[in-house]
Amino acid sequence: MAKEFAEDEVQFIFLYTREAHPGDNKLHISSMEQKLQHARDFVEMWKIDRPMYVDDLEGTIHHAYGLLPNMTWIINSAGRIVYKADWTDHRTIRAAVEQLISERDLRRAGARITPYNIEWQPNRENPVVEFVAGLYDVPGERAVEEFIAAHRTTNGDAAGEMVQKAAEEALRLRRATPAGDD
Amino acid sequence: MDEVSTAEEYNYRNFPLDLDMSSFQGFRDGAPKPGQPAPDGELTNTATGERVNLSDLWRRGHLVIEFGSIT
Repeated sequence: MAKEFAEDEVQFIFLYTREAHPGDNKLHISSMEQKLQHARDFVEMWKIDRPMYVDDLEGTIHHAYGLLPNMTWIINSAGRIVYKADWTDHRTIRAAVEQLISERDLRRAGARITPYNIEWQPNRENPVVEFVAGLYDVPGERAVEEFIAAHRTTNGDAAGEMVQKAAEEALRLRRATPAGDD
Repeated sequence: MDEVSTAEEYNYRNFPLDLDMSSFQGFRDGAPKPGQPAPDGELTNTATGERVNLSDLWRRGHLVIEFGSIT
């Protein structure tokens, strides 16, 4: 999407924050060097073409934008927020970027435009087995246990049970397909 | 904005037991809303080491920022 909209002078960047689910194989961040390294590793892992940035060790910018792990924000060239989402979903990002471009075209055509407000609650895919499998593969078992415990504490026993079952399924699938064989 | 935390608190070692951490409220109520000015701050480009302000970037054109991490 970044390439597609480059001609429209829309910039896409990535901001690495902190490890949301630290584990024994992917530790929490404890130095700026490590934060930079994790950010570069992320670029490598996911083949990120967009410029990758970090803020400081205290996460000053992350704090200012609400601290969630998978947000996307869009700022217009006048420095105003035009879009904030507590989850990154390419579909709504595309809609917002296309909206910005159409506003630019209207402005260029001499139309009078004024802002309005919208609230929207779309749904996203949330494949919990795949997510937990990723926790086993990257940070390791401790991150899975802590994720289950958090669900149980915050959302009750049924939620904890749901994640526990997903973890068992992830392990079952993993045994069926040993790492490196797929 | 959320309470300022130390680097140790921010980069927690263990996933917090409370999923409704103040951060969700921080996103909704503390962080700016659409139409409001975007917070500025200094970033480091991890490939070049170049330091830029967010405002340097948005002045060049609309800016889509994805936040994330490995885990």
